[in-house]
Amino acid sequence: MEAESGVSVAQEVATDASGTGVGDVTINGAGRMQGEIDCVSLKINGAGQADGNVRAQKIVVNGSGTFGKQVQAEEMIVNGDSSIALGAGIGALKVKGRLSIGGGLAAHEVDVRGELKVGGDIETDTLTGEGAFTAAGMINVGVMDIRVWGSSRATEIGGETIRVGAARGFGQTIMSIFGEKRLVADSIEGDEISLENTTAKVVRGVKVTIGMGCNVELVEYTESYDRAADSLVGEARKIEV
Amino acid sequence: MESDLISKKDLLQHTGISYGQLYRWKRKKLIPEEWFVRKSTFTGQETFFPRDKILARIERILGMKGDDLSLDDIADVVSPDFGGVSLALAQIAEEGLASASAVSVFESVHPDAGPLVFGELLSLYVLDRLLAAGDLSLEEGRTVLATIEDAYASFEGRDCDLVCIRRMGVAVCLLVSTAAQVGVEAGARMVARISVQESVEALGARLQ
Repeated sequence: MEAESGVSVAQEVATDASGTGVGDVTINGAGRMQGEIDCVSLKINGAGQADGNVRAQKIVVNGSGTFGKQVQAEEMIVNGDSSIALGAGIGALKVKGRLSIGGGLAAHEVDVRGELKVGGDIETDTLTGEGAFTAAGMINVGVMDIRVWGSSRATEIGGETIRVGAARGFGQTIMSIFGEKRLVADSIEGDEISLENTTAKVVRGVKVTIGMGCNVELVEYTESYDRAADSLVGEARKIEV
Repeated sequence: MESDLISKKDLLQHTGISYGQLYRWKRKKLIPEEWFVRKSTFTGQETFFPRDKILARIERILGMKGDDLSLDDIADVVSPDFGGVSLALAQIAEEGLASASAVSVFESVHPDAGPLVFGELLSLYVLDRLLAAGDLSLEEGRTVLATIEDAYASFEGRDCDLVCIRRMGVAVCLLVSTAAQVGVEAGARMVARISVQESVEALGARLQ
């Protein structure tokens, strides 16, 4: 199933009897898919729109992709700009550019160079990258290692290892068009936490490092605590276990 | 109600687990989302858990980890997939999954019942537990079955409690979300409240 430039693609992509998808779907140019899509690979080169739920082993968007419902994929690569109106379940997600999701995001690996905006919660084993990260709900993560280059926020962040770094070097002047380079969260809880340019009401962890540019009202730690001179911490308490 | 809840901080201190473990288990669906109860306190938003449930669950996870099970294996146990299960009533009685009186109540509601699929087994199992505890009469058991059959699906697999309220000899059953507080008027009495999820797990263990 293939559509040449400017032509919209068909109604529905066939699935075999077992319900698993068959075939590859490619849009070169601009295309619109109606109905449910269940396929092995979906590739958009140009601008593609899917009105129904999409399920695929692999989704690649080079350009722009608009998904009107949910997306389920083992792998999704966005080079450019994509939006998913409802939730997304994606094994490995790579974003170079921007992805916004209306509902929640469940994933194993997420790597972002650019911007990720999620209307619900983010649940993932790893969250890496640099740019702007926003979750209206909570970020539940195994290992989070990000550099914040734009205005980022989450209500809660919870995980094993949480590392938030400030942007450094040449790039930050260019990326500063994103607005303030700061992560804002109500609470951040984890085993090992190291933060820069972060504003939080409360940070709780086993080993906590509050680096430059942070503003934290309360730190609770059980093992170790470090604070950079140019950070603000209202109160730090050692909790005995 | 307050005393039935435990704060996240107290939970970690009490059990010795870390934030990382707690969040990992939540991601792996070992701890249901509904057990995270957010409340405003004077220190801001705090998370609480239903005390008995969370303590039992953590003990269970820690116990199973000792048996070298992966988190995914544990998830299969705490939220098992019973899409393919079906058992005839005769088999249920034979395997002792439910008492004869519970089975007879079920039969009186469903006189032409074929093999039971998991949802029906669950309603029968919950009924049996309530009857065994002496909380309900056989006649009232019929409303238990009807409640689970009509309302359980709307919870979409989320944890919930079955509540029975009796007033002037008339029993009404309802399913409520697990953290919900239930208040009744003075003339009425809550005769039973049991966790449906516990029955799912117990039944799962029996079926495997």
